Amino acid sequence: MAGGVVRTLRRRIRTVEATKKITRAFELIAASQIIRAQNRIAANRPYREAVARVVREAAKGDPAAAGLMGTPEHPRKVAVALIVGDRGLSGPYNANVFRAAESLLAEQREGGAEVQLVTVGRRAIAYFRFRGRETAESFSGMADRPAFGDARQVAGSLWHLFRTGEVELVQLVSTRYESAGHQRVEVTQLLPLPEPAAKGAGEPGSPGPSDETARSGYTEFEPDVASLLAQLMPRSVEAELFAALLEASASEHAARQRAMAAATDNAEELVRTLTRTMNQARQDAITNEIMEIVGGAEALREAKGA
Amino acid sequence: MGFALKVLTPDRVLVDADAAALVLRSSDGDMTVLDGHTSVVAGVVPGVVRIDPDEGEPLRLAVHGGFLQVDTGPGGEGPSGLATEVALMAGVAELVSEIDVQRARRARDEAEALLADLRAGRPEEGREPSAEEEGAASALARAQLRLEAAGATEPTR
Repeated sequence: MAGGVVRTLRRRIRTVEATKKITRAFELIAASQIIRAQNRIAANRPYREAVARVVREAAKGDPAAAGLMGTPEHPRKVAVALIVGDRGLSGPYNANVFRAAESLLAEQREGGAEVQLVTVGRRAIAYFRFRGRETAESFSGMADRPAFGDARQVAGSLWHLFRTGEVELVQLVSTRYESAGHQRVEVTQLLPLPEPAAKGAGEPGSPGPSDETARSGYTEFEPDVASLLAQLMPRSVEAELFAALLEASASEHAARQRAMAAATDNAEELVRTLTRTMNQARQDAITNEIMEIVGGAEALREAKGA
Repeated sequence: MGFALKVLTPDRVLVDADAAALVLRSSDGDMTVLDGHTSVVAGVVPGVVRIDPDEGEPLRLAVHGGFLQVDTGPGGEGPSGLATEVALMAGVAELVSEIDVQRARRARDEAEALLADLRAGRPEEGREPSAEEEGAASALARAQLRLEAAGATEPTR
């Protein structure tokens, strides 16, 4: 009977050991992905900053672009885009984005705005379906390794909503990758283009004021500023969205690595406790057996002596 | 003396070099950028872009649409006394020497077939093209530009 306990414990230890191997493997994979994702962010940065600079330059040259810039005071119709992962096993990564999105949604509804949801990541599909919430469009299969074509797809759909006047404001909820140890969920305004001043202030990643302005005061535009801006805006949304996708992917890998490292530690701890319990159970069993033998022998001898 | 030129794509910095001249087609027509060119922001239409370095062979790029920013201001060491910085941004761009002709040919055939399929299914005229159709059309345009660009360096294949 006591041997049964030991056997059960041994089986549990084996299971936990197997789980530990899996979580350890996930941890190592995530760690290698972080590095790749970081490199992609770094490779993308010059492009993103250059596009942002051109947009600022063009916007400066056309005061009539006001309709395409700035933040509407009381938007009636709003699109909220959010970026989460395709998979779980990444700690609070997805939940943090959902929480920020929920409070943004509540805020917009309170202001009397009608909200359309555009989601990236398989997790969002399940999340909103479970809550019976309609989404205007859902994308998946790009969160792990976003390609520029993916960003173009999502940006195209957002740009379409904005251009056709279906929404007056497009906001994005996504996780920004600040460093390996620090990621933060942020709400950014994609369309209309945020005022450069307002944008530069809150964003540590944006270029400083030194390279913000052109050297000369006078810049020509080909074609005229208005049509150039019209061409430039969808590209700028693509660039911003691609950067957001890259940062979200790096953040997801970082969150996964942390979650899996914690899981591996937990498994180790569990194995230690279980082993201790098992050893104790085994020793108890041995003691019991000895007692039985001694007791039996004693009983026999007493029976003989009598 | 040349000017600092960067060709930027979302995935990498394609070119970061000193150039003597940059020849491309903007939405208003062909243009050549030399050191001291006035500051300009221009839309770049899909086509082959040529970069002439200070010395050596010119570099050719297939650029699938993008933007050009020329930023000239005081502070250069050259004879003009001006410093010119040029950035060419493109969603998709590649060095002509890196174009895979076989692949581009395959992509062109696939896009053509897909486009024919899509158009055969919905024959009405003047309608708004679907997102799928637009995608196929731009894939076709990219493949054709690649072939055209590569054809210039390898005439027969």
